[in-house]
Amino acid sequence: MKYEQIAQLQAFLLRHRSCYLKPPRGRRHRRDEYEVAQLLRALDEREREALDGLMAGMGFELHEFDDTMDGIPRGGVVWVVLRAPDAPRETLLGTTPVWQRLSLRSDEPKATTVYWFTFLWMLTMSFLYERISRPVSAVSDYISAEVTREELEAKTSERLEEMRLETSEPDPQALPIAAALLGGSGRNATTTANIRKRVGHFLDAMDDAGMLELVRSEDGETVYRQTLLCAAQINELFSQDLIHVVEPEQIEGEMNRFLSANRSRAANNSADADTPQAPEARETEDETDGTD
Amino acid sequence: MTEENGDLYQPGEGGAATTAPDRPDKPGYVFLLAASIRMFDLHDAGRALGADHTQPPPEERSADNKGTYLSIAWDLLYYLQERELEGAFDYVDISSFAAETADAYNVTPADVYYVSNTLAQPTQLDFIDPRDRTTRRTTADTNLIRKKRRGQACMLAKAGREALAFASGYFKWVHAGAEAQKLVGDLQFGEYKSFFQIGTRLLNRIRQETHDIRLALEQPEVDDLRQSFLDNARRYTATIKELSSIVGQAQVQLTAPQTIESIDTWLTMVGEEEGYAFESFTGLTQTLLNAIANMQKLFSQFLETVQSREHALVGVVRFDAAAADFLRQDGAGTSSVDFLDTMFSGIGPLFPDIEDLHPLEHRGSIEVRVPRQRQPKTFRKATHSARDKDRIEKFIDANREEILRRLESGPLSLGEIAENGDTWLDCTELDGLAEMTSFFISPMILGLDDGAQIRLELGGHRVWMMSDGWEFSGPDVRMRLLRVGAPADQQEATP
Repeated sequence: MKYEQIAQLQAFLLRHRSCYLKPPRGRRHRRDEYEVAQLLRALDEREREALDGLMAGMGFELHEFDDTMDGIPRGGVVWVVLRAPDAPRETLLGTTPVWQRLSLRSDEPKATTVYWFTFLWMLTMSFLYERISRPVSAVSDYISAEVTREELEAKTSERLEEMRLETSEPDPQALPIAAALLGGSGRNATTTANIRKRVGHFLDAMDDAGMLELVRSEDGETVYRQTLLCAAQINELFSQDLIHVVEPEQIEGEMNRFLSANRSRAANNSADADTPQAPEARETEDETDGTD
Repeated sequence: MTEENGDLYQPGEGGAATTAPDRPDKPGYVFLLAASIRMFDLHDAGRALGADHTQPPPEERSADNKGTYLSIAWDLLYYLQERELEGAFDYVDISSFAAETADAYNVTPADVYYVSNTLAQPTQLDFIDPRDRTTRRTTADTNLIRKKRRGQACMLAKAGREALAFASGYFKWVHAGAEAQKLVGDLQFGEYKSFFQIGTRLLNRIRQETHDIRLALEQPEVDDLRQSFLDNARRYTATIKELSSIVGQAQVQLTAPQTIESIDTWLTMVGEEEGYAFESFTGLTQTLLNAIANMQKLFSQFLETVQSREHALVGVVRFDAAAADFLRQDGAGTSSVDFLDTMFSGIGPLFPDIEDLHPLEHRGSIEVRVPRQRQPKTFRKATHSARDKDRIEKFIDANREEILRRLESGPLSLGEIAENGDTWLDCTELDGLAEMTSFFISPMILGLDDGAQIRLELGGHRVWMMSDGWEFSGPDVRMRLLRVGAPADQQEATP
């Protein structure tokens, strides 16, 4: 067992959270990345178990994707480090540096910074998922998920203006998030310059943490593209974390759609075989005409 | 072609076919379209059901009837397929393709982009469900390519890959074993070019199927595809095993002496001129086995997880509405700072949080201490009053004169001792340099004469890092030596 090599792998993986055997389009290998990838590929079963155990002890899992995943060059392999679903959240990697990077002042309350990050993160996800009608489970479609800084700034301003029209000075007790993001009135109000700074800090932090990558699109525009790491992580923890973001009505609607599709399929199958219908099929009343 | 390339066989090398197979008179796609064109006339027919009159199908095809757009379209599909085989399942900029194709066909790049935009646009196809012959079904999975929102980057869509597969000789997945058996036959009978054609087609198909499995795993709305995999799981798994076994046979056959000799002869006569080598054969079989293994792994994952995944029921999350709604929250529950912090410590950007591992947090608590030899205990006997001095006393004994001499010349602060005391004090007896400052805590250990007093004053909070690695902090202390009974202006020693 080559402990020194396993430690080297663990250190690299925790720092960068991804390792490419062949770098994706538009990027070169990071320092030591190629050597680390070769070591990962050469691990025997015991060594891989040891590495997995070390990562698990820190609350992480090592996932591997081959070239059947979109965006991975032919013959390439990618390893990503994901937070394990039930692992404790206090680990070597944390969010404190993110809050420090996003805040505009050293004495900014943590709540303000966290609210800003959450707001910008949700808007970014709307570009990466909602705009291209992409479900969270469609990890491989990360190659289509892009956003520009200008788009994010414009959307942020738009949403804040909508809120400002509702209430120009929200009560900090009743609406603490709106109060923090709108910043009050007069000189304290959130300005376009503030938004620009926040968005810039946010995108830089996401880029440095490997959640987004800065690429130049085919028409020369600079865009931020979602990484495989980000897409896989969100998919992995969706049912634990993000599910709280989804409106209950959306879950209910999708549940009904799924059950009615199942009922229709069961009804078609019952003409061929003597199988009893599933209980869900008898309970729902919605009909389907079988269209896709 | 070595293992460092990752893929042991690069389709396209050695003349292996990635485009349509050799046909003497027509490209392969013509056979596909020829069999389909009247079907689309019927699909788009203007005649109403039950109408008395009949209308002949259209013979005149509108606009450009030289087949230019059609040919450009298939050129584009083959181009994207080649990029996919050489590169990755990823978007490809077609600007250079458009420029070259425009030259070749004597059209403008805009004409080429018209073709790409058309292929990227899905349309609805209606058919009657063959099971009951009355239910109308639709599918919009008809775009042959996917195109990025910005620019001219495209990639093949599922329908596009299927169109190419149909054009090159489609086979059902369950017949993949029979297809793979041809590899063994080709090796046996010396049909080596056919070996590569079959192998490449098989490899493309395996990768396509693997891609479809991933699609079924990820997209909640592809219920039919997912259900098809589930319904036919046993047959699917059997096909994978069969493939693996047959390709393994081909690999073994390549080690047989007569096969090696036959291949060498062929290479000498024909193969080497066309870019083949013996490693091309072994590389192809190994690449096939790797692809089959990856497919098996993904299919197992599909069977294991697809049924239990919760967010298959959610579809597209409305993040924009969630963001707008977030502004209106009261900061409690799922909008509280603690909850959000915890959530993003999972799905958010993470950095090494070195606060928890700062060296000052751990210095002295995890340092391995070498046990020192125990000092003999001090004790008193009734008849003997001998007492062993502890190390602080010994330190003071060794430095008393120096310390008092220093105090005579002016005040002495704890900070001065901490910062450079080891340069003028003998610290031999001490465990750590911080113990130099012990006489500030109990100054009477200095053994002052009756005419002397010590005045202590507190200063600001300081942190001192000792040269031996220890650290301590607290208020600075200033010690002054006062001479009792002396005139007021002479009571305190001044520097």
